[in-house]
Amino acid sequence: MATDKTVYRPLGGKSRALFSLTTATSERLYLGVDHLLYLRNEQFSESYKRFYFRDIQALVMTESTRRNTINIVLLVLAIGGSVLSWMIGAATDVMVAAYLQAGFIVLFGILFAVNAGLGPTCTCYVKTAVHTHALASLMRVRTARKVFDLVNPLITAAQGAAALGQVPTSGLAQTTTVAAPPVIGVPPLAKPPKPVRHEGGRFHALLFLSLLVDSAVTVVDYFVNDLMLTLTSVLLTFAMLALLVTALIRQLNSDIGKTLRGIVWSALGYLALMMVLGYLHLVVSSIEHPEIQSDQWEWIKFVSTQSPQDSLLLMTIYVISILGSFLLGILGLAALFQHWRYRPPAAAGVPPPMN
Amino acid sequence: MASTQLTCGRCKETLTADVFNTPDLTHCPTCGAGLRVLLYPALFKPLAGGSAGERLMVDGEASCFYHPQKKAEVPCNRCGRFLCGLCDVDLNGEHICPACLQSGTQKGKLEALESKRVLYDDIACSLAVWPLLPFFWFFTPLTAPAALFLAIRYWNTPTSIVPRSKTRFVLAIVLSSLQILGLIVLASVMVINIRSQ
Repeated sequence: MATDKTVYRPLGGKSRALFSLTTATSERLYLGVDHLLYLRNEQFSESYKRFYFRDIQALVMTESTRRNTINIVLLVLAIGGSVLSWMIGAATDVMVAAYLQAGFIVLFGILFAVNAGLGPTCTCYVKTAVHTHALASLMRVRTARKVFDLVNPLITAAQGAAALGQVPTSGLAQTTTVAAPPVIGVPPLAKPPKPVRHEGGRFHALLFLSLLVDSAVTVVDYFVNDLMLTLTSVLLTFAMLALLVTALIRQLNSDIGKTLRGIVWSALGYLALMMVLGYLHLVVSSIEHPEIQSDQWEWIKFVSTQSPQDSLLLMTIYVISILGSFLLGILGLAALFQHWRYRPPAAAGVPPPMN
Repeated sequence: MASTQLTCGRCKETLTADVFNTPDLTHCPTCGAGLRVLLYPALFKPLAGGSAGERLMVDGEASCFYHPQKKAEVPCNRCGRFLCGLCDVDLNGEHICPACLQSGTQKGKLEALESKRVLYDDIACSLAVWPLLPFFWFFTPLTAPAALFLAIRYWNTPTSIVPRSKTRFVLAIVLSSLQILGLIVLASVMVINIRSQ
């Protein structure tokens, strides 16, 4: 009979086989006294792999695009669900459709927020003399970074720093000297592949301010049916699109932080969603009122006479528009203030702005 | 032998020295993906070769238990038998003879070599819970006694190698006992009804 001698401490991160119907597998990494234990749970049994500190040759973490893929899938599901519930509502009851639509948006919105909040995703692997093993449980950069920082001193202590020096780079024959792990205080040799320039964020500020203005205009438009308000809203949308494209170009190879970049990309997703919903509204209105089909001006005038209370779809567009613009505007400005506060041109050690 | 080359997890291109051992994320020179690579001395330490064991040169010198013509180098940490360099298996700093290694692996006494465990608590718990789901209730006469048997039979058997409570076993015992009790009551009521008719 086996005896439990080693006490293991769970390290962050757990991967699950989401689409496995036959077995509910999960994988997790544990810290032992002198090794890492990789545990794979297959519902009724567990398999183990041990990586002793003295045998580990390298730990590698690479950022992956998994988070963006999940977000796109969630966005597609949210739009698909909204359209489906609207079609159900058109055939049956408007209230049922309203609840369904709200349910879809809230559900996928929460999942979207959770996925975005957990941070960027990554893939990790551990290399020993005889094999390379993927660490599937370390899926998020934040978790992987914590685990790397925790085990790095342990591995270094187990192997000692004396033998550090010659590391093969592009092949077995060619060797070069590299720095020791950061724990023993040797300066790193990190070199960004492209020069990073400072971005003041002027266009970002304009984008977020226009989002806030758009939110305020939509609130007023919710209660007042006026042609000028509708026109202002349409013009604001075009202005936001222009500012968005400019901000996206400006933040390329700049020192803009990940949060701020994420908000700008979210604004792109939000505007795309609003355009899809607007197009849907145009199609529906055209079916009900054929006279506005071929005339944009007539359509704008028609929209200005519409009240959100008249149509479930219009109500949805208004609610998403008010909340989306407000949240993105506020969050964007907050992130921009952080950028201004912590990355002034002189302190950041980067060249001054080009413009 | 495995290659000493390290590759980017995204583009699979070989990494160069300038991305090694950085305190935080750096970028892959090829694809630009965020990257962190920690290297350790083991990467450039050659693999230790096996020893065939020295021949016994002097009479009266201690010899290997398995190879009497070879010189003993270390005793087995488990059984105490003398071992030559060929028979000595270094297991995480412990010297073990092949026989102890085999028996330890088979009986699960060497935790460092354990690569799989059956989770009897999960099996018992599943057997007790599944009949509670719709369409599975008619399996109760089979699953409830099986769950109770497994929970009692493997109560003292270590489950996972990592810390784990007995909650699943307790749940299996409670649920399966209630199911068996329910079956007995149901059967009794049916017998009484049949007799009364």
